[in-house]
Amino acid sequence: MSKRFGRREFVRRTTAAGVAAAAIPKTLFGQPSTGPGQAPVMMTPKGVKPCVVASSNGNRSKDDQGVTCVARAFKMMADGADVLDALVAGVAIVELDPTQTGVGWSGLPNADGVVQLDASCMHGPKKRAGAVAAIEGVRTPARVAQLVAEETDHHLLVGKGAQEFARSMGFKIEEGLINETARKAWLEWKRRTDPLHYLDPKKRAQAWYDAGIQMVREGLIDGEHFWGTINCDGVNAKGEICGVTTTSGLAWKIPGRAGDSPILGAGLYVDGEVGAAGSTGRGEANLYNLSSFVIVEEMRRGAHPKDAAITALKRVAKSTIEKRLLNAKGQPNFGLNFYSLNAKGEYAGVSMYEGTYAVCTENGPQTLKTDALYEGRPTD
Amino acid sequence: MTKMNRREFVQATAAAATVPTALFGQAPTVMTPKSVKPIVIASSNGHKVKNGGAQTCVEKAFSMMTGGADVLDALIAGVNIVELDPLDDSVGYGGLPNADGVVALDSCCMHGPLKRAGGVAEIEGVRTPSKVAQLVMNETDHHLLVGKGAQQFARAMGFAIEDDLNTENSRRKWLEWKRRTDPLHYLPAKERSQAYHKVAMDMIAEGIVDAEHYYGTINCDGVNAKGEMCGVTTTSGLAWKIPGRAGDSPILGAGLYVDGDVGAAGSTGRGEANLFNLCSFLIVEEMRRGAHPKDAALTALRRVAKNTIEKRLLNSNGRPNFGLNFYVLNAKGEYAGVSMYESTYAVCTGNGANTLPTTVLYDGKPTD
Repeated sequence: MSKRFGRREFVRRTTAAGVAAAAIPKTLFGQPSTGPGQAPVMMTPKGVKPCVVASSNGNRSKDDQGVTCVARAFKMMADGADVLDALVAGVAIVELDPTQTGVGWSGLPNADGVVQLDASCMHGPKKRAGAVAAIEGVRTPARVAQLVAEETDHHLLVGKGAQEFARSMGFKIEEGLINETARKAWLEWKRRTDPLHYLDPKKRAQAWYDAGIQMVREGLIDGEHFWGTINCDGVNAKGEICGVTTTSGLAWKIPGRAGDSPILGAGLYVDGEVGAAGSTGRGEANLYNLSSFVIVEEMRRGAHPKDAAITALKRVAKSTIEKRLLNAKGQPNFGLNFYSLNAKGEYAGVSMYEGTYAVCTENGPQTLKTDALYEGRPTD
Repeated sequence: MTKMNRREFVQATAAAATVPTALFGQAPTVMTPKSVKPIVIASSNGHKVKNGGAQTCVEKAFSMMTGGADVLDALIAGVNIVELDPLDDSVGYGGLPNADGVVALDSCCMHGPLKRAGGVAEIEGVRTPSKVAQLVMNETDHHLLVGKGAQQFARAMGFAIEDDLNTENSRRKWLEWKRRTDPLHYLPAKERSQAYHKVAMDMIAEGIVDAEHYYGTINCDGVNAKGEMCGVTTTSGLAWKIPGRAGDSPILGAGLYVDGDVGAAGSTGRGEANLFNLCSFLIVEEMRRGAHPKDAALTALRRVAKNTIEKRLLNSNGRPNFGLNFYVLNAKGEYAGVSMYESTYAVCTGNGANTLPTTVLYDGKPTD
């Protein structure tokens, strides 16, 4: 057997000197560096224009100082923080925003009225990754995902086990964690879908969907929050790339349903030497097509972030063959967005239908229109 | 917009030659070539245990497939033998439990022609998680159910939920592991994960635990004469895992991927390597660009080696210190068993069932 060294030693050896200054409590990446002060294999170019890209909620929710996710992440990154620390701190603004019913603790609950969250993150230069699926009672699952990457030998913890892990990492586990707006919306949904306790089981899946869409139309819930998620990716001036995705998942999902957000390659993929890609929208389409991985592979072969994401969208359209998932034009009847950037700092926001995304560069945070594969709307 | 409900969809796509509980027989878009030589390929445990019956996994799947059954139904009936056999303590009933002594299972499956897929992670109390994965595919709009929710779903689908899936064998092995790792209830946290690994390696060296069952899993893929391809992966996961740890087996693209027009790939071995590198998906993508199953799998193994940079995962040669196997076939019926280090795999064609040596990336052993 080879000689081994402990995790702490590993972290010290691979922690960049600059990170130490911006220490975040409880993160090992923030410890003083005693090693050579570089990631083990860094083949990324220096002198990249730093950039943070995210779903559009990344430039909407604000902390108490009025700072958005992409702005905070960009600032921390520019101040020398580890890229992933910066991104996780950024998405925490969205996770903690009580008006956000698509991400974090205030997200819309599952069919039983229980909030279950999904998140994943990847650290490009360190080639480490972590994720949690269907975790209950924790407000910031992205931070738990980061600790799975740092503190375990695994990439994915689910359900009760993920919660136990969070508890052992010092997270407060809150019983019945639910936001009042989300709870009221769930009650309304329950009333519509369960007037006699249960509908005919054959019709139920359709009724659940119809009730959700109807509530979106009536303005009771935000359409973007039905499948709401945040993905946020960043590259710093050294070309170090990281990414994070976090969500409360599909509103009123079957308890235990995990979407694409906790799955590496589906809701997020990062290759430190190539680029990062993440997604929001119908999770099942990404679980099936591993779209984030496809985008990174396309970028590896030289494609621009935009073209790489368009390729992934075309792949999704090609493998969507069930009639219930197609609109009158034979195109997918769901939304799907990708956020991608490469090691050169080029980036794109791309979607199946019209959408927006958030970006922050040296010019400040902005909300931009995505490049769309199809004109019109999913429901046309 | 008009929608079709699930029953209508199923009726529209079900064939005349119906197989009970199988909804398939005629896929909506089959772009695969006709008259392929049928084949079933699996990890080597696919041609070892028989659960008291006459056939191994690959034999059962091959005979059902050539008898006209849906490819995925055939594969799942095959892996059910391994899941149910108490002698295989790496898969299904009697699998080595997690750190708390609870057996928690992972599985996923994909149907090539129908472009549908399902998976369950960390499901407790059900002996055949591959069947539950198939029902996630058939009966829900989702691809992945986890933990308690996956168990509730299985209950709703009519599965008996058992309190404990340990056999006397798996329980005794867990007790021995517990005795060694927990003499003072707990070691210091920093030393614990290292001690867990060392104890397991000692138990393997002492012959108490089968090395292949430490990370043991079964993957089984098949193509019938019409070129219809499916795959399934099922496991009890890493022995003595942290409760809640999900490996690659339930994750589409990691422990299994099938593209009905291209090929199928699945894996056994260190799940984290596949979760990080999406190897099964990568192999299918390589085949899509024309690579032979063997070359596609070698590309994935090289990617794993390249992305394995932590010293604790490297041996004294600087190579990965873990085993990883891929089982691959394409739409033409070409196939390969490929692994990081020396290993075997199971295959069944018109010539009968065989256990064959894999093509390896590296000579020697993971621990060299």
